[in-house]
Amino acid sequence: MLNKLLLRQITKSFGDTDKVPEELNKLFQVISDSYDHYEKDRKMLERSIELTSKEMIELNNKLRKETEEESKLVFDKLKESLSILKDDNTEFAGAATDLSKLSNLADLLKEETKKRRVAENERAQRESHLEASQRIAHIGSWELDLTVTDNINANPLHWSAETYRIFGFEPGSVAVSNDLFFSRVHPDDVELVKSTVARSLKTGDQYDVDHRLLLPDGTEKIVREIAEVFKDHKTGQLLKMVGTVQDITERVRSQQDLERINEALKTLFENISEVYYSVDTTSYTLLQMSNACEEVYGYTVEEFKQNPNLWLDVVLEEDKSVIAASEIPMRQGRTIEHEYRIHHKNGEIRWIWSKLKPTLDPDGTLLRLDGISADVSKRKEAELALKESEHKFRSLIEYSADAIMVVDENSVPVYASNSLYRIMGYTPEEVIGVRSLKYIHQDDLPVLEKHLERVRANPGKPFTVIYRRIKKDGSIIRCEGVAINFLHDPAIKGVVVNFRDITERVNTERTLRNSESKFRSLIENSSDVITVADEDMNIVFVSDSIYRMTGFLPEEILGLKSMLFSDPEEYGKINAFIQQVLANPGIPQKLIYKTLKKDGTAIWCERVTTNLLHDPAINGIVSNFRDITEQYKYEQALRESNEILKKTNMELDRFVYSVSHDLRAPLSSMLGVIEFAETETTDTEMLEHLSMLKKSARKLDGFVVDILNYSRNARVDLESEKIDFKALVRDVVNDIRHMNTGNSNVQINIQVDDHAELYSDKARIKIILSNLVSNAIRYHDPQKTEPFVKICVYRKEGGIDLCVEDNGIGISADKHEKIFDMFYRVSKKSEGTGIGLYIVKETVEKLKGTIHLHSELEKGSEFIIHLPTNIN
Amino acid sequence: MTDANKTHAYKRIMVIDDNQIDRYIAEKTIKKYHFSEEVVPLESAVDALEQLSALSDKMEELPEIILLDINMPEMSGFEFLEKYAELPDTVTKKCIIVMLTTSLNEDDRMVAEKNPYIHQFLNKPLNEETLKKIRLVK
Repeated sequence: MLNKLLLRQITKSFGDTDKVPEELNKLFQVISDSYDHYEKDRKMLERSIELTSKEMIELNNKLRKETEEESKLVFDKLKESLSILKDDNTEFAGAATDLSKLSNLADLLKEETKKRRVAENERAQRESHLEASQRIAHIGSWELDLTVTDNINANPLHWSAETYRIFGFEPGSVAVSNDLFFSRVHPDDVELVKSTVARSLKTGDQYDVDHRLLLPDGTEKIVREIAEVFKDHKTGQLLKMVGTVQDITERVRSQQDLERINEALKTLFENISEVYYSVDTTSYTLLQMSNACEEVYGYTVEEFKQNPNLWLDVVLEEDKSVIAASEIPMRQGRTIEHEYRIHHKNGEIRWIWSKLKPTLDPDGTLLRLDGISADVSKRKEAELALKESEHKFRSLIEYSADAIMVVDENSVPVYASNSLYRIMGYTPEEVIGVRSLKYIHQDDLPVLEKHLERVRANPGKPFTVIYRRIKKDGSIIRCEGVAINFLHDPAIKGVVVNFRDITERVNTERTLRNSESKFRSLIENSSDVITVADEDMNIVFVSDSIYRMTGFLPEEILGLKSMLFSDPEEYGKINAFIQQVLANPGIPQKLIYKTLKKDGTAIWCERVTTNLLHDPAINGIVSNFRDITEQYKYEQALRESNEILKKTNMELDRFVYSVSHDLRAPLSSMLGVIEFAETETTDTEMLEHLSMLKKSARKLDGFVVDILNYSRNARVDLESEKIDFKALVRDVVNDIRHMNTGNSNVQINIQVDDHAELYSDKARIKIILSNLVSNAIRYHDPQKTEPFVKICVYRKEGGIDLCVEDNGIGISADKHEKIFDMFYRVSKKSEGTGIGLYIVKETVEKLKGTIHLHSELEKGSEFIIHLPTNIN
Repeated sequence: MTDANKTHAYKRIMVIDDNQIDRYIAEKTIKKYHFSEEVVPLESAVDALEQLSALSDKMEELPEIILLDINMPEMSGFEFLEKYAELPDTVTKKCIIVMLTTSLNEDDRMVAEKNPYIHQFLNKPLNEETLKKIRLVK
């Protein structure tokens, strides 16, 4: 089928299509097809003018290029064919004129193509503008072709790039359709959109609808869609629907936010308890005021508007000065804050806190006032109450010690603290409301009267008085009272009297004064010098007696180092002493050293120094100096004579030793001779004489030994060693047996406890034991058939007991006390020297032991000696 | 008791004592009780040292027992002991020294007991009892 336009031209040229040669027909068919094809493309292009998409432009460009190339090819072919026809096909000469027509046609086509290209360029430019503007405005466009089918969903839909983006797609990434569109519409809005579209299709009217989109990622968007339906005017047939879609999410959201804020502000403004208001000060009119004024002032906004002075009228007369005072700073543009009282409409007085912000014009004229007023009565009341109670409390406490009383102008007690009972014995209830003088000592009434007068005359001033009070039990106490007149003070309205029992204190003070004056006179009159030094040993106090002792005046000594008035020779000693003092706080240290008087003479000084730096009462180093020159001289002399004595003693010791030896040696020789002579004779008379000689010599020897022992015990120091009692007793017994061969019929029993352990002076124990044992043997009872001496040593608490028991002649009870005396002998018959038991007693005492005697005449004696483990 | 034929306990005994009576008693008593065949009485400790020193290589002539007094002029018993210690072993090993004194001084006794050459400390006078004690040492 040939193109209509071409057909018309052919018919014009050839008269009838049947007359056209077969070859030409073929050619015409090619031209026709190409034309149709082109026409079709043109239509598409034209439609796309209204569409907006990059792809379209690309597509169009591509199409255009293809079309151009194709057309060019067609034209070239056509030209070629025509020239062939012209040159070779003479048979078709007749048709030459028609061919020229055909050539014209081709030129026409060429012209047409050119025009179209220009139009295309323009369109492309328009399109790119559109694309940019769409993107910027977040507006997409779409077109729905309604010509294809009656089913709206099946009709081809076109979206612009921005439309893709709004619906959450990459431009051109999906095939668009009506279903795709609805899949992105918020489910709740689908009905709305569908009905709107349906109505528009029905009426052909434009529609404008806002609806939401719900994207798969959950994003919600709000879009505005405006669309129009195009109809064929003649037929009324629906052609297409073209629309725009605009993302208005942000706009809607911010609008919604704004609305919400407005709403909130409105609520706040209406419900807040503070009153906000604005006043135009040039016209003095109330511009606006919040409703809270009804609560705060009791008046409505209307009433405030009608009476511009109302806000000031309600202020209390005495508080108007507060507002007046803020006039000037406010006019200077400063924000004002003040508090004052108003009369509420209901008659109550309310505290108002107000803040005003003035607005000035550049000339400094006050234009406007914006203010806030709040009811702060509660806070104010609380503050005042607190202030008042605090004031009251403070008034009471500041001057109080123990009992507190408040009396009115007539001296009637209106208040009394509980402590009154403790001091006076009266409960507060007993004294409140009754004026009475019975609490005051008679003698002190005039004093107190004067005191009260003074108090009344000087409000607010405390006055102290000391007077005597009488307790409920009648006893008198001394009181220190402080009274203050607070009659003028509305918080108290009375005279506050407080007093305390100072009886004890007065007594203590009196005692203290006495003892202090005693102490002072003691110091001042003492011949001792007392100094107090600080931690650097600088003297901060010195008693006047320094003058008597050294000739220095106290002023000359104060501030000096305490050692400066001592002999320089003694500095080393004193320094060491001071180190010791400092190192031993609280412990007195004593030192004797030489010191110099002002006149240079030396005196000996005994110094006792105590570091009392740690003692807060003293905080110093206290020294006591005493002139002991005389004493020192005596002591020196004593020491010297002691030395001499010691020397003499030693000499005496040596003397006694040698004398005893010298005395004993001839005695011993004598005894040796006698004993030998005894063995040389059998003459009984001779033997008796020799025995008498021997006895006499022995007695003399015993005497020497006793004196030796006595002197030794008195002079020789104790020595301590472990005592082997078994060996010691054996030695003693052997020695005695050797000496008393004549009394060998006396049985000696020895009992030594293995555990009897002792550290003591062996020589002395031996003296004790040998004296006791020899006595026991010497004074054995010849009447008894079995005379014995029993020696026992055993452990006894803290040491040992040493017993020497015999069944000898015994000692009568009346002589027990005397037997330990020196040179005492029980009877003339006594053979001893009378010194033995004295030595025993002395020696036992030296060993810190004790001795006891149990004895009865003719029965025997028992000496019990207790010796302690430790003799030191 | 006095039997001339009785055997003697010791062969030779030396008595060092400044007291002539004591030396006499010692000699008499020792002889009487046949305590020793020979008694060498010496007045001075110095003489005693000289004799002992001279006899140091004559074992047979050295005394078996020396009775020593303490308090003597010129040289006391303790001073003698100091010198005695310096004598050859032959002397000190053979001789037994017994102190025989009137001293009751415990210090003397203690010093004596500590001295390694003193075998006994006995008090005068020398009699039969004393000799019995010395004999116990043998």
